[in-house]
Amino acid sequence: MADEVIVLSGIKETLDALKEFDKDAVKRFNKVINTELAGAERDAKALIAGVAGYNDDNTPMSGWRKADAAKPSKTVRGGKGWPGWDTGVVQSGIKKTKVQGKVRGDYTTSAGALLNKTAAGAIFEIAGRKTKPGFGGGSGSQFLRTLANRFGKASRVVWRVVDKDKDRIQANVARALEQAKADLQKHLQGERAK
Amino acid sequence: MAIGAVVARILTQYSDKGSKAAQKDIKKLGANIDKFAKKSAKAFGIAAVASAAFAAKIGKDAVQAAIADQKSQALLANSLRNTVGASDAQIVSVEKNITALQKQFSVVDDELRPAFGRLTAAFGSTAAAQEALQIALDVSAFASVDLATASDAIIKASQGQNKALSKLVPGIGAATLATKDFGKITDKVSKIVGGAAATRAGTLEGKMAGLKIAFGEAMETLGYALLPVLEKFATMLTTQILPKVEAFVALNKDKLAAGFALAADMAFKLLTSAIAFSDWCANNMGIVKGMAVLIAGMFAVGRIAAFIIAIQGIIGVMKLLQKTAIGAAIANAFATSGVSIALGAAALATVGLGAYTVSKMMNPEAETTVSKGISPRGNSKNRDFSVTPYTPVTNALSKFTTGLNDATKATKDKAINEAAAKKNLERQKMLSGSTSLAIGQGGKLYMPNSGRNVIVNVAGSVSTEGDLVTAIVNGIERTTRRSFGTVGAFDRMSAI
Repeated sequence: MADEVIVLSGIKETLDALKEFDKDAVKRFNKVINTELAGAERDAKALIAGVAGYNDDNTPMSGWRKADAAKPSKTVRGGKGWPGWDTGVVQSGIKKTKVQGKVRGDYTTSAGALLNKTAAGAIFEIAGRKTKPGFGGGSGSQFLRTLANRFGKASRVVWRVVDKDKDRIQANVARALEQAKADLQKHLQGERAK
Repeated sequence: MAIGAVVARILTQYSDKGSKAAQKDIKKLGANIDKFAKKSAKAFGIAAVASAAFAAKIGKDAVQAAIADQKSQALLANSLRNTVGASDAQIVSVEKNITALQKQFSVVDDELRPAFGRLTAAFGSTAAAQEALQIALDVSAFASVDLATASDAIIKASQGQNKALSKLVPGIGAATLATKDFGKITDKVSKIVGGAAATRAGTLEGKMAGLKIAFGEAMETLGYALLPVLEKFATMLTTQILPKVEAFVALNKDKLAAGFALAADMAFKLLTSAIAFSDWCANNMGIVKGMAVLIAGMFAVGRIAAFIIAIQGIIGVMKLLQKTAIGAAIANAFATSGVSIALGAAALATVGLGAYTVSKMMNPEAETTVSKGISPRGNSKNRDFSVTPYTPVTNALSKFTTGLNDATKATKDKAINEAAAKKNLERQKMLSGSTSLAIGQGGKLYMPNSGRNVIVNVAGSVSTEGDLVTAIVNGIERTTRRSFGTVGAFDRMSAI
């Protein structure tokens, strides 16, 4: 997971102002973001498809049930039981979003993100990030160990895509933003000339 | 954004909300900084005051230490000059030696100097005194006595009195003491106590004493720096300020004395007046209380001037009444003057205490009658005189005054009529010589012989003085309840 954050400033202000002069320019900018996010989403879904192809039953592990437990254990996930792995469902849980979400402590919010919404997908994504597999066994140790051996460390789906493509995406979006600002400036100067 | 989902942010932007939150945080931070600054300023202010006070104390202590040190040095120098004729150079050398001893053995110079001075006087030279001082220091440390005791013991030993020294240093030995050879004795003493002073200086106690001495020296140094300033101030005080004060006093001593005498005389007179006044108040407490209540009530309604005019009118009328008739005559005058008793009673009720007080002042004998006539009966509530409306009061006073004037006039007329009737009767008696009596209507009046009772038969009713007073009282109470509520003055008056 990448720690550094590149903050784009003026997206909303630029687009709000540009909307008054050149809606096509706004569309062009949004298209860049949407394209980049869609590409990331597609890559993440492809990762899920690759995971599903690891076993014959299209699950990351042979023991991972495809459906949710009929009689879930009360101690697992607050009584919901272990989630089943359905590749289609997990893939459908991979979404791109431009919702801002809540403002963080650094006064920033999201302008584009990937979501891994399903429980199975989230477990696959982050299992082992905090809890490390022990040598003495334990209920989750083998699961974590196998997961790590087969699919690598935690951050296995959306974060992997983001880590891989983030710089490119940000560069493309930043370039589009600069273009949008330039367009806005052009329109403003034109207005002033009138 | 989905809750519970794994969110991988790709693009991050600043938010308006973020900016506002940032501004809010910055503002909060600023407020906190201001708060901190104020607290800090306060704390620093307290610290500054404390440090100033501490500095003042240090300055005072330093100056005192310097003064004491200066005095000690001067005394030693004077002693050395007188005893051995020491020169300034020798004195400086002695001072250096004392300073060195002070540091070496942690003994303050204020002890060293007197001891050195006495030893010098005893032995006649500074060199011998220095040797003896060294021994005295060791004896002092050995016997745990002060340096003065040790040096005195050595001086006595030098004079053949070994008892004190043998007590301080028991191991000298009788044989040595018996020789009465001061050299041998001191050698023996040195062998016993030698190094004791240095050993004591090396202990924690000695080091602490040395620390204290070092601090004292620092204070003295500081004090020596401050002394010139104080000396300058003292000089200015004595040479400039005090002479001017003395000159002023010398120039104006008579006026000052007269002023003081006048002030004393005035104070005595004032005191005498105050005592007399207090005596009068004590003797006339009833009047004081009555007037106090009266004035308080008038202050409450805020029309003192009008009240005074009204009261003056009452006083004048009452004085006139006193001269003419009292009691039944007044009651009759009330009844015949055309002024209703109720109205007069209302006025009396309003200024009851005032009238009572005034009448009491004019005629103490009238107290009994009036106080009996206006008794504290009726409603016990709402007795606050100060809430009485002013306008009805002044109106009632005015009407009452008018009524009294009319009553006075009627009384005078009646007196004149009676005098005329008497003359007429006397004249008829002289004419008829009859002893029968009948007083009737139509202007025929007959005077009985002296010593007989007179039966009066007139239209209407005739009351005794007591009945009339009772009627007045009842009227007062009725009117008071109707017009003003209960007037607290009655109760106050009864309390007098």
